[in-house]
Amino acid sequence: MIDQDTLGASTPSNRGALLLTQTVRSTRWVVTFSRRKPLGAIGGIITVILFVVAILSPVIAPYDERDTHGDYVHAPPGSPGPEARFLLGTDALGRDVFSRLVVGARISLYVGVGSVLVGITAGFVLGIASTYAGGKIDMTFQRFVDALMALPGLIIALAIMAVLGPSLNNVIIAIVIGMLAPVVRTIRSQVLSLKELDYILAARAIGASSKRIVFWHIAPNCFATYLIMATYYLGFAIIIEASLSFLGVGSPPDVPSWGGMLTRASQEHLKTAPWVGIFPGLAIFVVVLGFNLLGDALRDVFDPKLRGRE
Amino acid sequence: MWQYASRRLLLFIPTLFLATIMVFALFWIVPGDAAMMLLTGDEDGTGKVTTADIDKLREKMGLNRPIHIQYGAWVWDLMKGDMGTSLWYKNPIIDDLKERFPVTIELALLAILMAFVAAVPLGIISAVKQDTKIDYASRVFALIGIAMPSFWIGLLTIYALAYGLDWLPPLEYATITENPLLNLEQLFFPALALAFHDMAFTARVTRSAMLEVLREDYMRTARSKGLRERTVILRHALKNALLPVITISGYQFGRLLGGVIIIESIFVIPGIGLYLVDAIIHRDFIVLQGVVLLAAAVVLVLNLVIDMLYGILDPRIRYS
Repeated sequence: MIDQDTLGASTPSNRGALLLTQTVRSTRWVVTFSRRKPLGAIGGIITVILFVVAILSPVIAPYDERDTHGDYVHAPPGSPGPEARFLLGTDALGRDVFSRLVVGARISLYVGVGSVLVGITAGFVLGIASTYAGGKIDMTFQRFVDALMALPGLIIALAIMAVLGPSLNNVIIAIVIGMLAPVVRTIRSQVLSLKELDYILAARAIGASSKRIVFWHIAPNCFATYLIMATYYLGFAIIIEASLSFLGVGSPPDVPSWGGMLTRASQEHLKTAPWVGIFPGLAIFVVVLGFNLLGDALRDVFDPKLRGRE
Repeated sequence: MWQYASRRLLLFIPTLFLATIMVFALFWIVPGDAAMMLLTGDEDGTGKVTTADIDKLREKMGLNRPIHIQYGAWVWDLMKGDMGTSLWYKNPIIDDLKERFPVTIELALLAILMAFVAAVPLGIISAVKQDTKIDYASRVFALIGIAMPSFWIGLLTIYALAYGLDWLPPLEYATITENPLLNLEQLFFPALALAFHDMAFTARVTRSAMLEVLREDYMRTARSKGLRERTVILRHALKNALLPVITISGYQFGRLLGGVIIIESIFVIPGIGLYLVDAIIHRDFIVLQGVVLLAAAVVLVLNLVIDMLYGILDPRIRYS
């Protein structure tokens, strides 16, 4: 019966039907997920909104994020501007805070997704390779991880930025190095526990090579871990980027990064123009909260062992 | 126990050694070396200096020696307690650190204390009332704390103090020995801002540790003996749940150090964090190197101490 289904899938009319069933199935999964994990669903919605805003930022932003309006310095939120209303006010140079936030979403997401893709993938490969190599190689490599673990994420990122100089790609490098050690550790412990399972023994018994076991049996089973870590580390990356830019070593000054919008300049005018400092922080907070809510829910769903913990 | 302790100590030494190599290597890859930076102030060399000047300073600073010799000399000096002289402050770094380190530690300890006082009850309630509205509320509260970037919490705190209370922390810093009251006045709000983040994390850990303990058989035994619920929770469950909470918080000290840097620079507290940020602004890589290594050493020593204490308190760990 199953064979008939898969065989029939090659005809064009059936292919459409298959696509439809798949869509229905994934929609149903999303609906069930949202009903069981309402907080996770909120996190998911925030994530989707962030992606949409980042992609459509040139359309959404009413002003160019770099345009200064000399006559409209520190205009309060909602005040009328030359073209459109300044929804969230203007900063010390008369730049539209809303437009800067919208473009900033793109920056945050670029840094976040970039560091997560590079960092978690690298951690994944290194973690699996080290565990599978075993013996002295694993032992030596893990001591390096220990040493790297001892360097707090923000401190190592700060040091690297000081060395490399401000640029968005350097921020990604700094964040990747800052997150590598814990990611390698998590993947390693996951692989170690998978290695002991019966189906790996079975695969080995029927003569599967190490390479085959790693690629076809171990790696796919780490996918849930990958997804969960990716969600958490998106939040981590966005906070680190913001912190670095806040301290003046992250994104270059002309880039409207959320953290960069909160630097010293905004602190000095905190009393007269609090909106300049409040909205970028709020944006970071909501986005990171969204990622954490989604990550928690995904972990509960994908990793039954951890259910009810933390 | 001795076997466990020596095994753990044997792991500590090579790790610390590797950490020194990493920190050294990180600053070795800097484009342009310290001599160039000291003279030009910028790594692309826009200032008016001749190559002869740079070579002379390189000679003086020993930067023209092979890299492994430089590393060896650096470690040898470190072991003698000499971390070099700051490029910007012109002080021996070790003297600056001696002055600033206690400030940072005081701030961190105060924050940890505040976080514990708030987080442990929150975690207990959350675990005891698992999956109720209270549990949800406290979990969301904890997540809020994790999602708020510490510099934003710091800014909001300053804003609330300045605007709401019309009060700002005193500017001149007083040490705890000079003027304990003024010192506390200065550190209270920065510590609170710092604690908020840590509290969220500790509450989550307390909740999961309590949930684990509550499922144990001896909890049923305690209840069936007819003990009051309060005694069961506080005396029997909490006592066992608190150990992992304290250890995990200890391991998280490094993360707290990250927050300290930001909070110190917002509230202008003369600790290690402000020192580090100023060093970055002035491109003082020798200070940067020293502070990064100090942070790593503190984290490693703390982890070692925690593991030793754990070995004493929980004998099972010695045989794993």
